[in-house]
Amino acid sequence: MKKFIPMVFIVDDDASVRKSLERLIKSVGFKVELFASAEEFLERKPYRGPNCLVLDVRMPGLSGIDLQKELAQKNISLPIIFITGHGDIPMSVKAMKDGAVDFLPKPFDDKNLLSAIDQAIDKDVQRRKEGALKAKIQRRVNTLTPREYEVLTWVITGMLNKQIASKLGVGEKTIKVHRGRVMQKMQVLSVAELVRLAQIAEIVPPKK
Amino acid sequence: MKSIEETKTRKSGIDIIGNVSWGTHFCQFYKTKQDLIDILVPYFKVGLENNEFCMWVTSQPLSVKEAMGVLKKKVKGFDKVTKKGQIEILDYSQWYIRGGRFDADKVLAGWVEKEHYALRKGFSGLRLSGNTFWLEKKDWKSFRDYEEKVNGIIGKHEMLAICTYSLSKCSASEIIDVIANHQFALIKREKKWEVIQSAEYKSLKESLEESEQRLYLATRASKDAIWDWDLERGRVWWNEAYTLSFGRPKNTRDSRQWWIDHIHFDDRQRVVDSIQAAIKGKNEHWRCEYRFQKKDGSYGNIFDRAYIARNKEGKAYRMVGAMLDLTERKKMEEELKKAKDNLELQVAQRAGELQRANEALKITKDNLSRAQAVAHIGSWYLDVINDILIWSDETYRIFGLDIGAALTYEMFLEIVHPDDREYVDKCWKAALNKEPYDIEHRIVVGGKVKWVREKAQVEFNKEGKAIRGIGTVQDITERKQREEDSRRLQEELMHVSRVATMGELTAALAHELNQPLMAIMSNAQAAQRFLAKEIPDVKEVQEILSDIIKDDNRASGVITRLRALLKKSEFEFAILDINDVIREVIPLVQSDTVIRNISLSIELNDNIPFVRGDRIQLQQVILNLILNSFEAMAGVDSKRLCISTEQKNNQFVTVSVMDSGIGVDDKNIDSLFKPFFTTKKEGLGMGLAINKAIVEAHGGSLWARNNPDQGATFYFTLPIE
Repeated sequence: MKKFIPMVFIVDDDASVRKSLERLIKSVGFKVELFASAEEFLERKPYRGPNCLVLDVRMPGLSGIDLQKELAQKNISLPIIFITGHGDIPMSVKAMKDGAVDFLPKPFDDKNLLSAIDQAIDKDVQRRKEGALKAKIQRRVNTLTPREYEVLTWVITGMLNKQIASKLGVGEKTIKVHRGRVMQKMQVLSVAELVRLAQIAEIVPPKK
Repeated sequence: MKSIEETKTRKSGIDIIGNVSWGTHFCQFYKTKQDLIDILVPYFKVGLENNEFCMWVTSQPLSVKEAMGVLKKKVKGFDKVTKKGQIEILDYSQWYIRGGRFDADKVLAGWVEKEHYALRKGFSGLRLSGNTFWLEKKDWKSFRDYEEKVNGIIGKHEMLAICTYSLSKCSASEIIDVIANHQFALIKREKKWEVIQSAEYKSLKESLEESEQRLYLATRASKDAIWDWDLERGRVWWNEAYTLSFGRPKNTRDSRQWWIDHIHFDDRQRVVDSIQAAIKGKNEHWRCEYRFQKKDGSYGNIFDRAYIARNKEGKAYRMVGAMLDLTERKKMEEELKKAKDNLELQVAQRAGELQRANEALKITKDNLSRAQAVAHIGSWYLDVINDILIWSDETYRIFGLDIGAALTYEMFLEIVHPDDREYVDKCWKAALNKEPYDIEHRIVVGGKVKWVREKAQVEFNKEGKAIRGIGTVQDITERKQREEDSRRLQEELMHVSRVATMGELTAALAHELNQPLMAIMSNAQAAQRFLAKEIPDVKEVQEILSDIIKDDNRASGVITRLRALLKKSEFEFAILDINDVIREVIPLVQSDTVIRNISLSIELNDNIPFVRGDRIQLQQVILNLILNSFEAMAGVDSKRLCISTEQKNNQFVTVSVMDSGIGVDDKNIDSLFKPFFTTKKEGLGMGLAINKAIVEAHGGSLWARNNPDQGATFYFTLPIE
C-alpha cells in the first residue's frame, strides 16, 4: 500500500477560524485543506489516504449536521470532529450517535483538538487496513466455484467430510477433493485459519 | 284629448264625416242600392287600406255577390286582401238570425269575438256594417234594445259600426228611435249626403268633450301622470304628463310588462303582489308607494293610487289611477328640514355663545384675581410712553414680590435666571419691533428656580412706535417638572427595553464573540508550537500575531457595539447616514440569521440623503424590528428577511423591514403599537410602542402592513436633514 500523508479537512464559514486551525494542524505535520461551506466540501473528490473532517456545526446553507447526513447517504465514511461556537447537548449527542469522533465547543484547547484528530486518523487508518484485508480475502473467495463455496460454508461450521457428503448427497471422496481445493485457494493450512478469514470476509455459515 | 286621438283616430272614408274615433256607431238611411254603394264601398276601402278587419253584413237590395263585385272594382289587390282573411261579406241570414231568430246577446258577443279575432291576427280593429232590411215589425223592439247595447259596448272596443236602414221600412217614430241610438245618421237630401245628429246625442257628446277637455286641462295643470288600464284586454292608456315623465312602451300590447319592468327591482314583487291582491279583492281603491324608473333613467319615489271599476259580479275590469312623483317633494322636505335644523342649531349656538360671553365677562369682572391664582397666571400692563408697569396680584406672587411694590423693567430682569436674562431681554426688544412674544424661561425666587411662560401683545401707533403692551405670566414649574420626569421615565423605559432586546440576542452574541476568540486561541497555540521548533519560523509567527490583533479588534468591536447599545444615554442628535446605522446592526444579528436558517438580504439605496437622529435609538428600533421578524418567522418554512432603504419624497427616507413570517392579524394591525399590546406569551408588549415613540421623537412615523403573499413589512420614515 502506498504511503499517503494523513489529511485533515476543515469546513467553517469563518475565515479567521479556518486559517488559525490550518496553522495549528499543519504544525503537527498533517496536510490541511480548507472549505468555507459544506457545499464546497461535497464538490471535492474523496482523498485516497487516511483523512478526517473538522466541521463547524452552524453555517449558512447546509449545516454541519446536514453535511454529516449527506455523507452517510452517499456512503462516504470519514471520521468527523464537530466544532461549535454554541453547542447544545441534544445536538452533540445526536452527532456522536451518528458516528462523530468528537464534539468540541469553541474556544477549545489545541491538545483537545489535536488528540481528537489523532484518534480520528487512527480510526481511519484502521478502517482502511480492515478494508484492504477484506478485499484481499474477497479476491480469494472469488476464485472458488459455487460448489467449493458451498463446501466452505459447511466446513466453517465444523462439520466432518462425511456429514457434509450426506447433506449434499454426494460421496465422501468428492467432498474431500473440494475441501482440499478450498484450503488451497484460500491459502490456509488449518480450518481455524479458514474460519478467521471467513469471519473477516463476513461469510455467514448456513443454519444446520 | 290628443293622446287618445293619436291612437284611436280612424279615417271614415266618407267625405262629409272625415275622421272618427274607434267606438263610433252611426247609421245610414238609404233608398236605393246605389245609396248603399255610395257610402259602404269607400267606408270599407279605407278600412282595408288601413289594416282593419272588415265585416260587411248585407241584405236586400245588395246581395253578397254584388257587394263583393263593387268592392273588388274599387280596392286594389282585393284578392290578396280576401286571401289574407281581412274581409268577410255575409248575408244577414248568416249573421243576425242564425238559428232562425234574432238573439241580441249572441250577436253582440259575435262582434266582440270578431274584434278579438282581428286583434289577434294583428289588425288594428274591426270595421263593420250591418243591414236591417230583414227586420220585421215584431223584432223592432228587441233590435232597438240591441242597438242600445251596441252603444254601451262599442265605446270600449276598437270597433267602427255603420248600420244601414231602409227608409222604405221605417216609420217616423222608428227613424227617431234609430237616430237616438246612433251618434249620428247619414241621410240623402236633394242628392247630397248630410249628417244628422240627435240633439240628445249632441249634447251628450258636447258634455263629454267638455268633461274630457276639463280632465285634460286638469291633468295638465297638476302634471299628474294618469293611467287607465283595461284589465280585460290588458291595454293601458296614459296621459301626456305620464309619457313626458316616464315614457311609454314601443308596443301597447307590452304595456303591462313595461310598467312592471320599470318598477325598482327591490319594490317590484311587492307592488305586483299588491296590485294583484287589489284586483282580486273587493276594494274600489288601490294605493302603493314605490320607486319607478323615469324617462331620464333615474328612479322617482312614486305615490300611485287608483280606482278599480268592477262589474255587477264584483269582477274588476278597469283601473284608473294617477302616479304622483314625490321625489322633488321629498327632497324639498329634507332640505327644508335641514335648513330648519341648521337654523335652530345656529340659534342655539349663538344663544350659547352669548350666554358664555356673559358668564365669561362676569367671571372676568368678579373673579379675575382668583382665576389667576388658580391657574397660576398673572397679567401685566405696560405704558411704554409714560413708562408705567402694572402687575396683577398673581404676577407679584409668581415673581415673589410684595403686592403693590414699585416696579421697573430692570427689576423684572433682575429676577430672571442669569442664564436666561440675555435671551429674555432680546425677545422683549424684538417684541417692541413687532415680533411675537411667547417665551418660556426660568426665574429665581427665594433661591429656587421656577419656570414661567410669558405672552404679550404690544400696540403700536401710526408711526409704528410701541405705545403699550399687555401680557400674561404663567407659572409652568410643575409642568416642566412633569415633562422632565416623563422624559426621564421614557429614557429609562427605552433603556430597559434595549437591555431586554439584548437579552434576546445573547446566544447569537456568544457565537459572535466565540469566533474571534477561537481564532485567537488557535493562532496563539500554533505560534507556541512554531516557536518551540529548533529553527523558529519567525515570519509565520509575525503573521500569526497580526491575525491575533485583527481578531482581537473584531471581538472588542462586538463588545463596543454592545456597550453602546446598553449604555443609558440621553438623546444625542447627529447627522447620520441611515444605511450606516443599519450596517452596524447587521453584525449583531448575522449569526442569529444563520442559526435560524433565515436568508437575509440587505437592499440599501446608497443615494439617499442624510437624516438627523440618535444613532443608538435608531439602532434599537431596527434591532427590535429585526428580532420581531425573527419571531414571526419561527414556525415558517421559507424564512426571508429583507431590510431596505429608499427616499420617499423630498421630505422623508423610508426604512422597511420585510419578513416572510406569519404576518399580523388585520384586526391588530393598528393596536400593534399601543403599549402593552402583545401576541407573544412572554412579551412585555412595549417594544413596538417604544419604537414608535422613538421614531416619532425623530419626526417620523412607524407603521406595518401585511405583504400580499406572506409575512409583514414594518416601515418607518425619518425626515431628511
